[in-house]
Amino acid sequence: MTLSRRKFLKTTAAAALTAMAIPKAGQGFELEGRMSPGPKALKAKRWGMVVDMRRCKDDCAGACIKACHAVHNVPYIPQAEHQVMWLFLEPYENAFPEQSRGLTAGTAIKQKFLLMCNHCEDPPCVRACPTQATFKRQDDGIVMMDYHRCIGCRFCMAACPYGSRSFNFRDPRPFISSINPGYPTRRKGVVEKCNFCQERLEIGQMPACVEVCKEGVLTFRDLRDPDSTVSKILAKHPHMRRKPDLGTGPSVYYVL
Amino acid sequence: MIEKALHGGKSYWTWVSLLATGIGIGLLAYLYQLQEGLWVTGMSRNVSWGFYISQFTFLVGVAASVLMVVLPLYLHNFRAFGPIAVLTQFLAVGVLLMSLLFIFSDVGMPMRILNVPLNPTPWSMLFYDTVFLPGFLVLNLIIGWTVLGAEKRGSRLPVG
Amino acid sequence: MFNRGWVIGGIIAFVAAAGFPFYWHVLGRHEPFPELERPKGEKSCVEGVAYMRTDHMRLLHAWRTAVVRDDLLIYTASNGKRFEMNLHKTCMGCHQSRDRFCTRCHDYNDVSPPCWDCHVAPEVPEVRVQQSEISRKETSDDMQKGSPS
Repeated sequence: MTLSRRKFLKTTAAAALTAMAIPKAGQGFELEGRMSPGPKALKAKRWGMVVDMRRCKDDCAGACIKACHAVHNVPYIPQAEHQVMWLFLEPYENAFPEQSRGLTAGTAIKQKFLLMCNHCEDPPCVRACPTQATFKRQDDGIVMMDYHRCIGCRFCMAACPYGSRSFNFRDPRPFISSINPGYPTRRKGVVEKCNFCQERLEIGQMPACVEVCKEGVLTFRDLRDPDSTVSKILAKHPHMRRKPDLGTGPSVYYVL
Repeated sequence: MIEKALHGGKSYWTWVSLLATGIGIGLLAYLYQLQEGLWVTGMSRNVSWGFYISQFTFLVGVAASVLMVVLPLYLHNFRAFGPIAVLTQFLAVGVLLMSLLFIFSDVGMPMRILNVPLNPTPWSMLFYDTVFLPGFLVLNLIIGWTVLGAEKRGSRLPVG
Repeated sequence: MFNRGWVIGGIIAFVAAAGFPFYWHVLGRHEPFPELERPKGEKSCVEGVAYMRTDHMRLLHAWRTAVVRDDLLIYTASNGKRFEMNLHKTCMGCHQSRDRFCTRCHDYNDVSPPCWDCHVAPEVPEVRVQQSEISRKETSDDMQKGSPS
């Protein structure tokens, strides 16, 4: 068989063109209706959370954590190494490891800190994700998870400097004590994390943890709006963010 | 040339069946992991990547080292590397297959692995691994097969 | 030709195996279409019934992309009716059973979409099982790791 280089190139080009001309399956589908945002949706340029640790008391027994995990069907897995956490408590040394001085004083620092996904300005998890299953919404800065697309490679967990992401090492359903049917559970093999209650914001509700906290620890507003409550608190009180030197730009601020 | 693999002595078949048993055990273990979830591997919140990914990175390194042999031969016509070119290229085929399988067995949702090429994400490293490694695998198979065929017929290498 | 018997026999065996779906329909038993439980008093779904029958999966796929990725919530159908794009509230608000609607037709067509791996079906028998497997001791340490009530 002889095949000149010219003929080989011609045939290859023709084959490639034919392949490109074949329409992709399902491309012919067009929606008959229109889609629009929720009319009551809460909007912000960049959602941000202020955690006022001076007000955070132990005696509520983690009401915000319970509320969050109940609303979002977060399983309680007894083995700590496979646990799934959206909202969790850690001591000061773990929350701010580069700022622990050994002899820190003050009541706030003895307390456990409420941690969650920081919804970073420049999220490292989004850069790592090979499928864009985790992405930052351009309109309000929420870092979202697309559970339908996640392949479970756990690259985002390796990238996140805050340990805010949990992988479903096993089927979570048996570990949910009572399922909230209004929100999906996850399945084994996907990564999940706090979503700043995006599903509540779009129907005009504040995040579950903010709503349930009676002490006024949590304030959730627009960081870009200079007149918003969070901007006012941050202007008035000294505050800190977790690992600011990494340049991720967390949206969660802690007032001590 | 594949028929060569179907002829061999007793020791050859013993070796092949030993390897096949190993593959079978691995397959059963993988099916168990698929059924139960990745917790059976001992990975956890704190150790989110384990032996799968370390094997993958090691084997990719081996695959890349193949270039050290074949580039002098193919690009600079350094004929002394000719006799081992076939060996290295098929080594690359083997390790690339293994490294791709290690990625595949590491992900939590293997049936969604095509989401990677379907949603091209040039800023993610894993995207390059899953898209370019199969390309390198195909190249090595084609070139290795051609060189092996030339060697069998005793003709000159179709390079240089 | 080498091994004539093996080659020709192999081709015949391959065609017999690969053509299985085509002649099975003729030889096999033809199952009657299952009865689906439809919402009473409703003439139309989100869109027309014929459209939903052929394209509901594409509609749902467009919905989920819009809600998860594009921050949209309301679907205005071609007849002007407005719906919240929500499987639980909108779809299952009318079709009150997964097993007597979705699953019956999906089984008949031999497809198994994984919707209910995560979304909670109206009938979820598995919800309250295996409670005993979860140790219920609510020590303060557990609490701090975020156990639900």
